[in-house]
Amino acid sequence: MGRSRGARRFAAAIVGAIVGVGGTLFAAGAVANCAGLQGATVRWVVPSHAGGGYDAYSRLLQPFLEQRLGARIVVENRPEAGGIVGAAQIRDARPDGATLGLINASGLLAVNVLEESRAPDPLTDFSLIGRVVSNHVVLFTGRDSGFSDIAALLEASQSRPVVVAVRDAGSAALFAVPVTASLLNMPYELVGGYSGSASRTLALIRGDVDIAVSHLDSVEGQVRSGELVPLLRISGPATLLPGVPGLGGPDGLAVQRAALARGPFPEAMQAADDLAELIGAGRIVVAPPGLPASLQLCLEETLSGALADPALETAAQRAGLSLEPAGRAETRAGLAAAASSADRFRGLIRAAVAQTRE
Amino acid sequence: MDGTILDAALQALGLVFSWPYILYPVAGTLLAMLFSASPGLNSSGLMALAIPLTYAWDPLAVMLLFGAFVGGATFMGSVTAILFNIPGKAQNAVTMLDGYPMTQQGQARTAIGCAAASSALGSTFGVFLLIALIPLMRAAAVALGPPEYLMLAVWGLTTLAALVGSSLVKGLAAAGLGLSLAMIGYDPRTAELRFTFGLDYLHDGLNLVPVFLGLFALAGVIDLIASGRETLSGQSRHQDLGGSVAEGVRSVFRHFGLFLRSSLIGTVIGAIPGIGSAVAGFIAYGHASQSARDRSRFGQGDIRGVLAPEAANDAKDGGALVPTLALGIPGGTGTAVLLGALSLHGLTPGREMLTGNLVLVFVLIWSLFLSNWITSLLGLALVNPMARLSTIRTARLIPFILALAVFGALQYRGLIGDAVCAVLFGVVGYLMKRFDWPRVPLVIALALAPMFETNLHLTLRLQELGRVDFWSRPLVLLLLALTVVSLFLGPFLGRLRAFRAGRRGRAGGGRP
Amino acid sequence: MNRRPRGNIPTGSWLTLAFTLLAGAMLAATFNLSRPSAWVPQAVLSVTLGLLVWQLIAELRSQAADANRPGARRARSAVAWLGLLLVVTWLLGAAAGPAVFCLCWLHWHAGERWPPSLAIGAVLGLALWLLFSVLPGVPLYPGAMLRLPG
Repeated sequence: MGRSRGARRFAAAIVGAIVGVGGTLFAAGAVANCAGLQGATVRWVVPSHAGGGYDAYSRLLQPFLEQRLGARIVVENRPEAGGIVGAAQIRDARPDGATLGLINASGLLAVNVLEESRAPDPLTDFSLIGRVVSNHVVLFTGRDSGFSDIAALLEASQSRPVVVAVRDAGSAALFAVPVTASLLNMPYELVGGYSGSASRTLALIRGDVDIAVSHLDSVEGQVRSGELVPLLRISGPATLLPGVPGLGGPDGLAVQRAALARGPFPEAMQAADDLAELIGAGRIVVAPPGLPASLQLCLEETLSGALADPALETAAQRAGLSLEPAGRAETRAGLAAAASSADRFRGLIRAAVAQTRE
Repeated sequence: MDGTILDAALQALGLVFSWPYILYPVAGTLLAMLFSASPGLNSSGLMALAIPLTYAWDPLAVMLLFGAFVGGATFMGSVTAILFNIPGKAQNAVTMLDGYPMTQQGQARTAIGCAAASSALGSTFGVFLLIALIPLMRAAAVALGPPEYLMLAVWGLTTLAALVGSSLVKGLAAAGLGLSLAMIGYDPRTAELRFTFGLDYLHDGLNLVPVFLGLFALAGVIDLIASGRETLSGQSRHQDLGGSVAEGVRSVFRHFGLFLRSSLIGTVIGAIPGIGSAVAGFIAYGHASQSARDRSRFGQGDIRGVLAPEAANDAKDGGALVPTLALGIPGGTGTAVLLGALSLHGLTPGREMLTGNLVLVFVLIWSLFLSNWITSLLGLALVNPMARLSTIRTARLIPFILALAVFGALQYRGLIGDAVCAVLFGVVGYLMKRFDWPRVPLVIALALAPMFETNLHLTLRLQELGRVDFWSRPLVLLLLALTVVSLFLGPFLGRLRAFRAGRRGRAGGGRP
Repeated sequence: MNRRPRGNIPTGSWLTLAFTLLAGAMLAATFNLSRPSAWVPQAVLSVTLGLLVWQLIAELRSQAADANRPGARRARSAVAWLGLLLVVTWLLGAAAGPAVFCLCWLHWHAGERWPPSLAIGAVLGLALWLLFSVLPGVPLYPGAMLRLPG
C-alpha cells in the first residue's frame, strides 16, 4: 500500500513535470505579453473579510503588482460561503486578465470531496499563476487552559474527550481534526458554529473549548501576545514555531504514537504527510480558465518577480506574513498531490460532516 | 496604575491636537463622512484602501487616521436616513423608522439635531466606559459568552412584542416571517443550505441592506407617489418647517435615562465579535419603545426612536475596541480592518500594547472620539440647507431618491441580486404598509435571528458537554429576569393603563 | 360601517395568502433537511403558519369593507417605473442606468421639457460616476450592454 501510494505520487510528479515543461515549451512559442493591461483596472477577488489572512496577502502584493503591470488593482472582498463564492466568481469571469484572485486551494479540494459540493476545483477550473504561501495549520489552546504541551493534552484526553471548536461542516480545518485525532489516538468532541477565527479564539481564551485548529497567520497576533499557545504543528516547517512538535515526518508525533500503539508507523507517517500535503496546497493566485498563453506567462513572471522583491519580503516580515513562492509547474504538482490526499481522506471527511448533521 | 493611564491619556491628547498630526483625524473624518452617506460607498472599503497607501507612515499617523475611520462618521448615514429614508449603512436603518416620519411632519431639523447630539454624546459614553475598563479590559472581553449572547438576542426579540402594532397576530406573524427569512442560506452549524430554492444569490442569506432599502426606502417612495404628496415635509417653504436643532439637542437631555441605557446597550453589544452593526441600534430601539409609557407614536415620528439607536450606534464603536485592544479580536468589520492595518505595521494589540504602548492606544481612542464630535458638529452646521431638501417638489426629488437607493443596493456588493432583492422588498413593503402589516417586527427579527440561532446551538452544545452552566452565570440570570419582566409585566401594565384610560374616556393610538 | 358583499375577497387578504403560501413552502422545504438543521426553522415556521392561517380566516370572515384608497393606480405606475429603473440599470450599468431613468421620469412623468431632463439626467450620471467610482477607485457595476470606464 505504501509503495502504490509512493508510485502514485511519483506519477503525479512526472505528469506535473511534463505538463510544466510542455506548457513552458508551448508558451515559449508565445512571448510574455500583458501590455493589454497597461492602464486597465484589474479586479482582484479575495475570499475573506477585509482584514483577514487572504486579504492581508492581497494588499501586501497589490502595490508591487500594480507597479509591474502598470494597471490599477482593485481588491474585492467576497467572504461569502467561506470563500467559495469568490472562487466561483473568478472561475466564471472572462479570461482577459481583468480578473484575478487568491484562493484557498486546500479548502476547495477538501470541499470537493463532498458529493453535493458545487465548489470550483482548483485543479481543473482555473488558470494557475503561482503560489504565495503554503498553509500552516497549527493546533492551539488558550493560555489558561492548563495544557502546557501536547503531551498534557493527550494525557487529559484519555479521561475525557477533547473539545474542539470548528466553524462548520464546510471548513477546511474540519478534515485536519479527524485525521490528526485518529493518528494521535485522541478522542474528541466537535463544537461547530464558530463563525470566524475571532469567535473561536475568544472561546479558547474563555475556556469554553479545549483546542482549535487554525491557520497560523489568522491568530498571529494572539500567539505573539501569548493569549494562545500552539501545541502541535500539523503542517509547515519546524522553523515556523521552534519548540513546538510536528505531526508528520520521521520524528513526528504520528510516528511516535503509532510506535506506542505498536501500529504500522510507515502508514501513520504517510497519513500525516498526506495531510500536510493537502493543507499545504496553500494560497494560490489564479485567473479564469482559458487564459491566452502570452498573458499567462506574463502574469506568472509578474507574480514571481513581485514575490522575489526584497521590499516585499521586508514588508511581509514586518507584518508577520511568511512567503513560500512557487511557480506554476510546482504549484500544479503540489495541487495534484494534494488532490490525491484529499481523495484518501474522503471517508474521514464525510464521516465528520455526517457527525455534525446527525 | 491609574497615574500611568492618566499620563498616557494626557500625553496622547496633546499629540492628537498637535500640528501636523491634527490633520490626520480631520482628513479621516471628512473622508469617512463622505463615504458613509450611501450603501454604495463602503467605509470598510475606504479603510481597506488606505492600508497599502499608509505602509510607509509612522504608527502614530496610522492610529490617528484609522481611529477616525473606525469612528465611521455614521451620523452622515443617519442624515440621509432621516431625510430620504435611505440608510447610509445598515446601522442607520433603525434611525429611519422614526426619523423619516419626522421629516414628513416637517420636523427634519429636530430629528437631525437629536441624532447629532445623541451620536456625539453616545460616543463620549462609549469612549469613557472604554477608558474606565482599561485595567479590566481582558476580563471584560472574556466575561460574555454564548449564553449571554443568547439571552441578549432573546431579550432583544421580546422587545418586539411592544412594537407589534394594532394587531398582535399580524405583528407576531411578521416577526415569525422575519425569523424564517433569516434562516435562508447556510446553517451556521452544519453548513447545510436552507431555503435557497436553487438560487446561488441566497447562499449567504438575505442581507439587511437591500432588504432595508426595499422595505422602507423604496416602499416609502412608492407610497409617496401613490399618495400624491407635493413635498416630503408637506411644506413648500423652509420657513414653514417646524422644529429646530436646539429642540433636538435638548431632547437628549430630556430623555437622559433612555440615552444612558441606550449607550450602555450599544457599548455592550459593540464588544461582541461577529454581531452585525445594526443589532445594537435595533435592541436599543426595541428597549426604548418597550420602556416608554406612551408608545403609540413609535414608528410615526417619536423622537425617542431616533435618540436611542443613534446613541447605541456611536457607543458601540467604543465597545468594539474592547476585545480589539485587549485581545486582538475584532468587535466588528471596522475593527477587523483596523487590526489588519495594525498588524501590517507590526503593531500587536494585547496585554503588551496596553502596558507598553498605552499612549498609542489613547491616540486611537481620542481620534475616534474627536471624529465623532467633528461629524456631529459639521452635520449640525449643514442642517438647515439639508432640511430644505424636504421642501422640494417630490416629482423632482423622487428620481434621485430612487436612483440613489437602487444604485446603493447595486454598488453595496456589486451584485445585481441585491438590486432585485431591494425592488421586490420595495413592493412587499408598500403592500405591507397599505394593508396595515407592521414591517418593524419583521426587520428586527431578521437582524437578531442569526445571533439567536447560532448562540442557541452553541449554548446547548456546550451545556451538553459540561463546559458552561447556563444557570450559574449572573449576567444570564439578569437578562432572563429582564426578559420575563418585559414579556409579562409590560402587557399587564399596559392593560392597567388602558383600563384607567378607558375610564377617563380617551381613545388609544395607531400603530406603525 | 360598510358591509363587504359576501363572496368578495378583501384585497388585503391576497397579501396574507401570499405570506401563508410562503411560510407553507418554507415549512415543506424543511423536511428535506437533516434534523439538527431543521428543528429550529420547523418550530418557528409552524407557529408562524398557524398565526397566518388564523389571520387569513379572520379577514375572510370579517364583514368590514375594504378601505378605499385612491392611490392604487398611482401605486401601480410607481411599481412600473421601479421595474423600468431596474431593467435600465441592469442593461446600462450603475451610473448610466439611473441617469437614463431620471431623464425618462422627468420628461414623461413630471412633464419637464427635454433640455432640462437631459441635463439633470446627465448630471446625475456624472455625479454617481465621479463620487462613487472615480473617487474611491471602485469599478461600477457594468451594464449587460455597455461597459463604462472607471
